[in-house]
Amino acid sequence: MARAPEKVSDMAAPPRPGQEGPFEGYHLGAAYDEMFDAKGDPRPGWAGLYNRLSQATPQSLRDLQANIDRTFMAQGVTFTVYGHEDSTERIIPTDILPRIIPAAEWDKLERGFKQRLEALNLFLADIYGDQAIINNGYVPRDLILGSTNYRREMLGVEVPHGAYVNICGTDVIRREDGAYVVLEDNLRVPSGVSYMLSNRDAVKRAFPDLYRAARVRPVESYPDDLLAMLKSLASEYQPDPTVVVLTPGVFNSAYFEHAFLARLMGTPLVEGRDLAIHDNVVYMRTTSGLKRVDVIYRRVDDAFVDPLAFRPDSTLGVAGLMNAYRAGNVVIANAPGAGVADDKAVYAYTPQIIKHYLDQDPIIDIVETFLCREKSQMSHVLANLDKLVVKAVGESGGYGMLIGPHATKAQIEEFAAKIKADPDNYIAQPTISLSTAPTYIDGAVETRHVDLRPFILCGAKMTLTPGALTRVALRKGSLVVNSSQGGGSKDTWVLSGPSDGRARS
Amino acid sequence: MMLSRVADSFYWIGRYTERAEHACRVLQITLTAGLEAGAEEAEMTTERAMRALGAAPMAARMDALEEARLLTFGGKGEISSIHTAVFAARENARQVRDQITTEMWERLNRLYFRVRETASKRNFSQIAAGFFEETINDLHAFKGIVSGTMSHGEGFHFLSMGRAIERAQLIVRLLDLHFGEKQAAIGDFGWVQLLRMCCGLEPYLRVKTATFRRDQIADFLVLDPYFPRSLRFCANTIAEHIDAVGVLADERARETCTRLSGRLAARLNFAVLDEVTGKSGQAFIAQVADDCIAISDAVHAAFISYSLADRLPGTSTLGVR
Repeated sequence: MARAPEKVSDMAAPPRPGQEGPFEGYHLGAAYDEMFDAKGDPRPGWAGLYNRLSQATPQSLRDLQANIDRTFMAQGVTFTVYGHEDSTERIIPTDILPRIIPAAEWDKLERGFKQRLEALNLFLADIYGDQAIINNGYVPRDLILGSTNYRREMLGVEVPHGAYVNICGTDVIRREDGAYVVLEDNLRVPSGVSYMLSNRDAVKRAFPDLYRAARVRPVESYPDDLLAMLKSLASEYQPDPTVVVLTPGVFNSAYFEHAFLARLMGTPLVEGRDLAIHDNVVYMRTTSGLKRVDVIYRRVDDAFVDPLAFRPDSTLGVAGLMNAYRAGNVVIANAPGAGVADDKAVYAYTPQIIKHYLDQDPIIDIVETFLCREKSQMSHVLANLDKLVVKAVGESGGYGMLIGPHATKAQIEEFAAKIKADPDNYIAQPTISLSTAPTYIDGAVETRHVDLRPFILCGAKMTLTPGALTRVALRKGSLVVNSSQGGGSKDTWVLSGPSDGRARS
Repeated sequence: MMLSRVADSFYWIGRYTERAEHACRVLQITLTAGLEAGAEEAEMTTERAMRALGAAPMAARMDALEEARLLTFGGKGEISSIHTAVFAARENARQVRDQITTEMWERLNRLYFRVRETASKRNFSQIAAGFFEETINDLHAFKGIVSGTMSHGEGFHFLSMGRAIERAQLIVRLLDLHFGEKQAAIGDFGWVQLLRMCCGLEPYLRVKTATFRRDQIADFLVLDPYFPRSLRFCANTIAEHIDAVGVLADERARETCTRLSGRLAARLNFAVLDEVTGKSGQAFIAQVADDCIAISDAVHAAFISYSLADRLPGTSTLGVR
């Protein structure tokens, strides 16, 4: 394998996508391809993987993939659809081929993500404080205050370092011209970071030479960074605060990740029933009595953290938590109410939000979004329903959606009626094709659509782990990357130097 | 310091793995004994074994193999089976996945998937012996992994304590069914099977030679200081682990646990053979079983389900008064 590069240059013509050879099944479409440019040459940073794939036999790829699947099942890196004894525990398929991001691209992304999160945190501090942005009329009052994710309980609460969003997973995709655009912000309880770490472990072992030669930036410090960030939230009054991870329990589909993070941080993994509150102080029940808790990394939705403040039927949280929080005796990360800023309609305002608070232009664009609540935009949407994707503001996970180009006439008419009846509830976006990346499919390498979810931590300072979860739609032609609908994941290699291979720092 | 819920899970991992291992061994021996077809002794042994595992008395019994299948994989109305025990152990391990080692998890996980897979196979009679043997080996390996990969801290002590309490109760149950019978009714064959079910035939032969008398067997299974499945050994193990976790507990709470476990150990350490073998033998071991339950309850009350009011900051001085 070490001789691979010479061999390639010896050959008359290097293998091209779509032509006979290892990339025969690799068809470049209209979408931006991560590995090949329009001429079929490998892009900067991808040469190593390209050469390796040019040499690989279908059997060797098959062996590598089988190896990964086995490791994941044994380790129990599973995504659970849990219900009863014969529950199904499935692994999210991990593709062996990494997705590669050159250093320069990442630098821009990093600046863009940090800018975005900084602005969103300022926005949250504003709408839970003086509400200047609303009073000035930049963002409609009813859009914010009427949102189901707006938590009145947070009004006037002082949040450490002004960081409402402490762990942020922003989904980005690439347009056909290759530009990264933000698809959505996940500001509540973003998940998937355990896959970023486990995928790295597995893929590193599958391609050790390639990994070393590519100078991939490490991601393994994520748990340490996360713990340091969480501790920084209580550092003002506690030199060594007690941090816990709050999980809904083993029945939650992301339980594996909760246990994984707790284990790597060395913090207790608690459920609501392990906590008790007395005099606005949070304690956990331990074998040696009650022990005070200072920071809660909650993986439970806002609405369930405190039955006294939010949903009274919740048993996943602990009664009185919000009061303890408001009294300043405990920190909850992410802050309750942060979800109001990742609303689909608020999303359309994020460029103005960045401009307003930072006086900067957004470094990463968003997808062009039409708000049906605005009369002029609504008429445009209604006129172009067959070309647009319409989404209900309050829904997620692909529900309440109209995909114009694939919809029947009746569906379009039905949606038009819905939009007219409740324009505030709908937004529309042009259909965007996600970029494609090489993916191992049955012994061959083919193109599949991918997105990108990096994880940004924000406490006393902001850190972005140089890596991400790349989700991949394993079904041919599919644009749906969700794990529940045939999506898999890929390791994401962020290169440390310029693409000529020189190390930068 | 450990979450109470986590300690509870460790305790139950210990109990359920011991329960599964014991049931496997008893069934394995019963099915082998059943091969001595026609022998009335074999039938009696089977009867006692099934009852020790919680099956209904003889009258309602079906074919031994079918019964064994039920006790292994469960069925309608069957509360306890090897399958449920392994499932419960794994479920507790999942609950504390962040606290146990990967090796522990992988072993239990693998065992669980194998039990589940075997449950769906039709030729149970042919694979039963191999299945029990592999399962027992897996559970032995699990104990080794626990002891070899996990820190011998609180969690380890809760797990080991659970195992010892469970073991004592299981042995008591077997003994009770045998002590209730006349010496002759059991016969050499029956006593040998009993020793096998307690995993103690070879150690017994080492100290008592191949004579199988009720008093000798009682002496061994109840009072032997070195055999790891004798009641005395179990009682001392329980006391040892309670002492180890006790240093962490609230003083008032720990008191009851220490007293109860110390008393049980003393009861067995200083028992006279007559008490164990004579008419009072059954009552003696029944007391051991009661003590185990009391200890289990006391541990639960002291470490796991304590009342919050007792432990809030500033209340400890009030309580002592």
